Amino acid sequence: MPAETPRRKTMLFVDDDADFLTGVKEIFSGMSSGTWDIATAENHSQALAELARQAKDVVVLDFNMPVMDGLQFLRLLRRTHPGQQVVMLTSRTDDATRTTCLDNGAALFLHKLLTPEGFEGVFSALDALAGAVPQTGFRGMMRRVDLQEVLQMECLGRKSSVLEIFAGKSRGRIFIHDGAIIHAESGALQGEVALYSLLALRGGEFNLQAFTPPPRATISGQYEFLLMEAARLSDEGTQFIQAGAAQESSAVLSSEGDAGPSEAPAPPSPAEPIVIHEVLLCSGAGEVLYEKGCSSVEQRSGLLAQIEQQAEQLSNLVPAGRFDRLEILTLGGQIICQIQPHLRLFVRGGSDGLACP
Amino acid sequence: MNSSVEQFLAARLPFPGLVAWGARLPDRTAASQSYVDWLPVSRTEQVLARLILAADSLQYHQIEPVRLCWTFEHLRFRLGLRPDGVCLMLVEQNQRDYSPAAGDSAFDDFAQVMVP
Repeated sequence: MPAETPRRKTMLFVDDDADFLTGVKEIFSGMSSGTWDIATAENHSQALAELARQAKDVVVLDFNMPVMDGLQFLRLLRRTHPGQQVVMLTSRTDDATRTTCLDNGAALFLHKLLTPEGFEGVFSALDALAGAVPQTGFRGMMRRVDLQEVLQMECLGRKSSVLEIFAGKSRGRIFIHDGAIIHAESGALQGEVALYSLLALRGGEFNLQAFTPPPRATISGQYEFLLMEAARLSDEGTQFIQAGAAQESSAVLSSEGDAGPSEAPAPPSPAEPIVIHEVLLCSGAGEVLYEKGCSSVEQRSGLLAQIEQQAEQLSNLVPAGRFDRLEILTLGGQIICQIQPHLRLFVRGGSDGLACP
Repeated sequence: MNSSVEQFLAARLPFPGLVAWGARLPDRTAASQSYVDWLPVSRTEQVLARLILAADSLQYHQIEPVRLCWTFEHLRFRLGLRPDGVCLMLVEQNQRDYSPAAGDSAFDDFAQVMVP
């Protein structure tokens, strides 16, 4: 019985240096003894056309390319070809570039060394990657799906996975182990705060990865309650903004002398997307854990301390229980100041285009 | 207290979950009422004064509020501020099924009550 012919591995090299591509094709064709099917492209347009013509096991990208550099193309491929194995091959070796590429989904970050040893090293890595046994299950893209639904699906199935989330400059990870959400991180935020901030995102991309243990478990409790709390926080934020739109209409009417009380208020405008302008997260001791967009961290810290003091004064007057937060509606947006035993949070947001204090 | 404000308050309040209210006019005249034994009217007036003071103090942070909501474990203190200086405070129970709708509606309508 004849031996089964090994599957040819399909590779696409994208580099703006035509001479390099010619050399790569010759060298790797020889090294692979004809087991590689090598295509080349000098820019992202040619690469996309080639991918449309034939799917590839591995796409190898140069970092420095005109018009659309390798990193941008890597991000584009994540959207247009989710699950595509992409390797960065570059002469840049700094840690920041490496981390950025790997964070954006590159399977490997290889150093472009134009020596026989360098080519051998790259070949063996690419050959192993292209020959890796594909994971079972489907791979694809789900459009218009809530993160809550994805989490619910993972938790209900008692799965273990890492949900990577990308939305603009925001990115984060939610760790699910045996159907329980055990950790979340988003920028400098960790734990439930990070989970709720990720679940409050209005849109973006996600990627379900195989489970790897988080640096530490920061979340406990049943996932149903965590998702319910996230939904509650999201609803409260939306209601408050909608109330603000109505109040804004009313305030304008009441300030106009001709507008009598019998005149019906203008209907609230549809809720516009909420834009977060400032975030300040401090520990209970006042240490700044995360800051974004604050013109003066000291002033915002001072505001939080002032509100904590005023809340205590209110508590002394009325048995109201533990203070949780102050929500402030202005004509320009909304501010939330949350005071918890272990953290203080200041968030200022508003509808896009409105001036905020 | 101004008669149109009194009429509005009598017509709209209380609603379920409301513990107390307080209102203040630009001439500093104030009115308040409590619907529970554990919060005397005198204390309600103190709370109103404290909330207005806290709202004023936000101006030092370049924040000009039109509505505030102080959420505690058991109560929510809400304050609506009109551009003409008229204020309305609502103290509501912070129950599990709490809905801000009734209070929101009261604030919206209060914003349009004519005060000469």
